[in-house]
Parts: sequence; C-alpha cells; structure tokens
Amino acid sequence: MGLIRALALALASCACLASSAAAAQSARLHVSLDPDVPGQRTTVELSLHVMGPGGSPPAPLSGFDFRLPANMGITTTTLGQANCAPAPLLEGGLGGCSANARIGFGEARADVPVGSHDVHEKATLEALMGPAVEDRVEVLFFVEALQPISTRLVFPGVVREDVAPYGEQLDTTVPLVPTWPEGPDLALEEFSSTIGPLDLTYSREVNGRLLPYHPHGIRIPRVCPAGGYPFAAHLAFQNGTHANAVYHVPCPTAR
Amino acid sequence: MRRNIGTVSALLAISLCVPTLVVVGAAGPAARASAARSDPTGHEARVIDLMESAHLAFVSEDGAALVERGHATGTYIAPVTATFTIHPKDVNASVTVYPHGGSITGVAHANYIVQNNVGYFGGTFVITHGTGSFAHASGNALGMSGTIDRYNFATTVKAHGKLSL
Repeated sequence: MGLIRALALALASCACLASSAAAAQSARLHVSLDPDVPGQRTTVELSLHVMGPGGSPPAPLSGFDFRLPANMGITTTTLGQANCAPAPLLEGGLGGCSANARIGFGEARADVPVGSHDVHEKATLEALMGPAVEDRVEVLFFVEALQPISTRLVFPGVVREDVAPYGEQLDTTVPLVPTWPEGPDLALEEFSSTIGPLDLTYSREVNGRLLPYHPHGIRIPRVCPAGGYPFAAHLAFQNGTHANAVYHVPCPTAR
Repeated sequence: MRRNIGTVSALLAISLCVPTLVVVGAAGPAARASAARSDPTGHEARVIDLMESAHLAFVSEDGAALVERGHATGTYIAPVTATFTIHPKDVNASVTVYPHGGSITGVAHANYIVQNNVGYFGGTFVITHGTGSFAHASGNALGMSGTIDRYNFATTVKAHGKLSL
C-alpha cells in the first residue's frame, strides 16, 4: 500500500513538473520606425520581451518569426551588399566579415539559472546578410556575450514571403545554448535589433577610391493600413509551446 | 553545401546563356524570320527569333515595385520601360519595348537569387499585347534572365525566343 502511495505521489509530481514546463510563455513586441514618414525609407527598430508563466524566466527559445507589413520588405533594400558566412563570424567576430554585410545591430539578454537564483547575461547583437539559403536571402543575428558566460552565437534567419496583412517574414532559428556541461540552457529574455541604415556606413570602390555611403532601408508604404502598420512575432520554445505578439505602428494621422 | 551548389549552378546557367544569346543575336532581322502562317482573322503571322538585350536605370518606386527605363538592342533597337516587383525568392516584371511603329508588352516571372551586391534572375517571359505594327505580337515561354545591381537598382535584361507578329 505504501509503495502504491509513493508511486502515485511520484506520478503526480511528474505531471506537475510537465505541466509547469509546458505552461504558456508570453511575449511582448514593440516596433518603431526611424524616420517614420510614409513613402520614405526607414530603419525598423524591433524589441522583443519574452516572459515565462507567472513572471518566471521563460523556457529556452527554439526559433522566432518576425513578420513585416505588406510592401515593407528587406529584399527591396540595398542593405547587405556583401554576404557573411557563419564560420568566419564565429571565429573572428564582426571583423571576420565585410562591413557592407551589416544590416542592423542591437542587444540581447538571457536568463542563466544559477542554483536557486537567476543571473542575467547581456550580449551585443549584430544583424548581417548571410549567404543565400536554398536561394533565399538569409539574415544572420550574431550574438556575442562576455559575462557570466563567454560565448559567440549565430541565429540564422531566412526571409520568406508571408500572407496578408504581412509581406515578408524573417524565420529565425535559435540554437540550444547550454550554460555549462550538463547545465540548463540559456533562456532568451530580451532581443532588440535594428534593421536598416541607421548608424551603418558602407563603402564602395569608385575609380580606385573607397567612398562611404549609407544604404537604403525598408520603404514605408505611402498608404498606412487601417489600424497601423502590422508587425508580429511568432515564438517557438524548446518545450514545444508557442507564443505570439503583435504590434501596430500607428499611422501618422492617428498620432 | 548543397545550397551553395544550387546557387552556383543557377548563376552559371544565367551566365552561360549570355554568349549563346549574343551569337544568335548576330544574325539580322530578315535572317531570323523563320516561318509564316495565317491566323483566323486572315492575318499572316511571321515568326522571328527574338534576341533582345537591355540596360535599364532606376527611375522611381511604385509601392514595392521598381520602375525602370532604358534601351534595348538586338532584334529591335528601341526604348524600353519595365516594372520589377521583387519578392524574397522571385521577381515579377512587366516590360514594354517601343520599336519603330508600335510597342510590345509582356510579363515575366523569374527566380531570384541575391549574391553580395547583385541580384540574379532567370525565368520566362510571355508577350501579352502589342500596338501599331506589333498589334498581333505574341509569344509564350520566351527565356529571360538578367541582373539587378543592388547599389542603384540598375538592371540588365536578356530575352530570347520565338516572337509571332
């Protein structure tokens, strides 16, 4: 009888753990455009905040899709005049690639569970144009962290066509990042990046001289959709759960 | 690795077709008239080998489309306008050539690959209508390939195939 009770308790405890592991994660997305003028080319500034259930740290991410409004595509920009492969990036850092491959930058923050408390890891982030994948434009998010864990990571993203009200989506894979051997995986809590020419300078050789210039960013459609320009993020977690976040950049007349 | 081979082979296919087009294009228009037949309206159609090469410069943007203008050489030496709508993996284009005596308009659908600062496209071109002396122009599945300079959107286009007039 005692054995059956113990078994039942163990099973109940397992079910509880499974339930909390698969509990809903949530995400908050914020997007701004700089400049924010319809018809002009811009830099998209996106910020994603990921939360676990009840304010707890989130589960590790396995990927996220960032969705852009219709007629606001990366493919019609002049961003990424060079391709950067993941290997030289991981080996040599940003210096391993042409500056003409940069298409944005930002930062990331992850949760590192250490014993009974959590330590936050901050990292710099660079967005670069990668080599074409299956003939599609690829964007690499290069993340470099120093403390408490020193690591370089590449999150590869593929640009795909999307369905209305969206135009393109950046389908990004997040690799598993063990904190230490046999340790838990890093859980991404915040991710922010620009995609556009803000603070980027490219160079071009003209008559043997390198001339600096700023690339063209994503064009904002002249006609703002009702409710604003729709952006969205779809997140997939290692535990099999998903979360969605939507943000509408208000139309100029609504501000 | 497979992806790289795919990309390289696509680029190779595009570059290989260029000299072929130039050689065929060396023949004069008269030499290219290869057949004649009547349509139901009694119009006697001539079929010629179209071999056109164009250089276009960016003019403006119409929504997500790039509007371009330039000059074509080959079977016809003529002004040309085109609108390119670029998607992540393909390009749609509407192209009009203005040879002496009318115009020929068609639409193209092509695969699109970006490699550093150049976008490469290759696909097919269908003539949708013509005006003036080219009012009866038709042609299906003409070959089309080209490049888009991602610095200034300058475009080169090559088209070839059977054109029925």
